[in-house]
Amino acid sequence: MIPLNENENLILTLRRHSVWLVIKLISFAILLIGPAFIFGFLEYFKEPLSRLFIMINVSMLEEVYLFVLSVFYVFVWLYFFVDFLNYWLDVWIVTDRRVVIINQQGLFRRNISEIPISKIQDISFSIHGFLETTLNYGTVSIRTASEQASFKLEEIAHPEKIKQDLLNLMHKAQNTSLPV
Amino acid sequence: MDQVFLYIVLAAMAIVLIIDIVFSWIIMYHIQKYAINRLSYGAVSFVYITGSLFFIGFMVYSGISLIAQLQ
Repeated sequence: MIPLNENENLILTLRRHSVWLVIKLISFAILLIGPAFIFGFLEYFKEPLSRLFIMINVSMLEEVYLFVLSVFYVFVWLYFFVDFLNYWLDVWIVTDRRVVIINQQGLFRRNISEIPISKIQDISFSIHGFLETTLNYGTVSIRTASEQASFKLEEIAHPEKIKQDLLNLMHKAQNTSLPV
Repeated sequence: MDQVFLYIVLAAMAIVLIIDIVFSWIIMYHIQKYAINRLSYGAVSFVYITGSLFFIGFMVYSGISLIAQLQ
């Protein structure tokens, strides 16, 4: 959790659109169901497989397949959860004074950037593609006066509304000159 | 030949268990350290631990079934 300063109010906590998670869940389900489906047709592959792996007795083929499948499932679960953590720990926290961008990449890479609201110069959003247009999600970009490239929050829901909220905060901060 | 296969199955089980424990520790560390709030921390930890135990249990069960066939 990002500690807030005194008199600082949390405005928004943003994450990627849940469609990203749904796509990952579908691929996870395919990885679970696909190999289990093959299990039903194992009878037809008994002969060629037993010739290929001479170590395996034909009568044990089902047990061997189940064991290999269970090992595969352990890795699928780990892979899915690492992917889920990338989604879950990628957060934009918007307060009335700053925007904190937390970018989790895999298990061993984590970038945290902080932009004071008063230093924001430009906010834009873009929606590309059929899925983004129909489900109303896209990329919101924030540009500051510094030489650093613009900060991007990708696959965020309602980018237009987020942009407007950030613009309102920006104008409010610039008018009242809140201390950072 | 069956004896060699038995050792391969046991070694595979041990390696997968070690990998799972190491990665589970790293994943739990991330969940516990970077969670936005306590509620989501509890829910995500619960889902991860339940799923992990289920799949490891399945692997141990199928491994034991296979070993029983080999002996």
